[in-house]
Amino acid sequence: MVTLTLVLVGLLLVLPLLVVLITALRSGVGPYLQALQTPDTLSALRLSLLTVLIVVPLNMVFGVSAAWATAKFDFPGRSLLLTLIDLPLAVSPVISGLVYVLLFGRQGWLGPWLEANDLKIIFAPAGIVLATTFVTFAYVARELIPVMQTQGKDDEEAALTLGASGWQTFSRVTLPNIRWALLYGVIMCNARALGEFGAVSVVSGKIRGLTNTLPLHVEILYNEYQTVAAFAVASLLALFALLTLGLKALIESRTGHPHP
Amino acid sequence: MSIQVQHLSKQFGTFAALQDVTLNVPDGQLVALLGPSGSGKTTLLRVIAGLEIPDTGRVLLGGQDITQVGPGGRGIGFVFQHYALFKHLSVFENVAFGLKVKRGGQRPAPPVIRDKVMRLLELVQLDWAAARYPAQLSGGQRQRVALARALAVEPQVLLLDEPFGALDASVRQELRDWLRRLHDEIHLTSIFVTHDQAEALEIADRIVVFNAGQIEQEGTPEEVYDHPATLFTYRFLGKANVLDRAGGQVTLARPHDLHLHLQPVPGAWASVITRIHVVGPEARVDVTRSDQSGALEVYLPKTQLGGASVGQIVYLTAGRQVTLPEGE
Repeated sequence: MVTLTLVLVGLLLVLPLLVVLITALRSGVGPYLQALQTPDTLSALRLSLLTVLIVVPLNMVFGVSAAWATAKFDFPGRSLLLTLIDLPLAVSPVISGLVYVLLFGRQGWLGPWLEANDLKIIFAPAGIVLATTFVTFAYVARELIPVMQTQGKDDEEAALTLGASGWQTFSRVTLPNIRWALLYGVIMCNARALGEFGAVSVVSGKIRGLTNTLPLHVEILYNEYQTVAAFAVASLLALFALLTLGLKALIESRTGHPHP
Repeated sequence: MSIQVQHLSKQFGTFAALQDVTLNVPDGQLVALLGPSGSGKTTLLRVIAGLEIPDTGRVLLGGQDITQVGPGGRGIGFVFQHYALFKHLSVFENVAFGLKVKRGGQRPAPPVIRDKVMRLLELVQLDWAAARYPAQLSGGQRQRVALARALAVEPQVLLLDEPFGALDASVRQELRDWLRRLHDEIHLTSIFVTHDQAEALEIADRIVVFNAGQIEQEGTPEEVYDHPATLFTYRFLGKANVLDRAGGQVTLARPHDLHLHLQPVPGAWASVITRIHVVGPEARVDVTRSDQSGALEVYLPKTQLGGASVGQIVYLTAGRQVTLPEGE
């Protein structure tokens, strides 16, 4: 059983990673580094990082507030909110992208108004940020809700009876209690935001040097038979993934129990 | 400081947790709110603390209406059943929390905070544990830290929600005695919630018995124990033996007030022993009267058992009896 698992893990997970690295370095280190330094690649890297820098803090704030609200309070519409948080996980990313096109595209509901005000969302970085936000919406909240629910309200109530303000209670009691789960959620959100392909590919328009993210750029390069360049950029994403795994393992060793 | 609650009601969905509750707690007393779970005692404590908002009614502290004041502004200290210590802070920082969150000029200088925290830790005999974290302490020690933390903000009133509920029996007894001594030292008006009648009878100045969201009876432990106003109170405060039912009245006696005789006695009930169970120095004997079904429980010192054995016929008399209207 253990052997079978190891063979499967090797075939399905480790082998592809090795193929990416071997193919990227097939023509030597020089061409590899060159492929990473083309203006289009750098622009894709910049857009990907910009997207992550906007999306992750946004989802962090949203995730913490949603988890706080649903775990610590009971209010009408609470279960509806919990269901809505899960929606982005249930919907195919391509559909999410299409919804944005239908909303903000030239033929979309808000299209004429956006055009009249000279605002561009579809085929522009704004659309990519929006689509990525939607797809990664649930990651932080999902991680925090069970943790906050188990912790209950006692600590917060204790802080309140001791005279702490709402903000002091949050920053000195709630936040320290959830810090590892929050960090874990942020890392997973980050990984997904960086790697998102489906939703982004629909709204991006794939304009080179303008609206290409790293995953889209890999696809374009590959379709143009620039195998080494494609795999070089892919190796960059793989590197981020390994970094994520390392951080994840670190958090798990700090908190002493594996996350789902 | 005295506490008054007037006509408090609180509903959770369709469940009435409190129904028109009015209560006066005089200054400096240690009062037990006693009742089964779901009887409203914890809700009342949380309303007094400002952690629940009542649907109707008022809460007064020292004569001042504080119904609209938040929990931090009431001058109360609250101790939770599961301690609610801040896990990421040391014992010292936990106790200092209430002082450190004070705003602007009200916040004492660091040396003042340090002195005060250490004095409180000495009071709860945990000055040696200042640098430890809650996870490194036992349950009883954690609850004492929680108490020191609540006292640090110099509350006018101390509220304790099942403070010993999560501790093992021996620690519970120890902490119970300790709380009573502490109260005698600092005379802080205190209310504690419990479902353990022995705990309430042992340490409270006054007991308030709760049933289904209402106050069933209120008085000193002796009054409540010796003169129960209702069948509910009688049954809740200890083991009850039904001796007679007639005309909507029921006559009861505690196990200690029933006496066994080996020879016939005038007016005694002939009974048969069905079980003898010795608990330490005490013998607990189940007997069934010949004119009644169901077992009665008799407690007597083991030394007075006089060789009685299961199956033997004995003669039962009752000392103190109480007759109360039937129906709870």
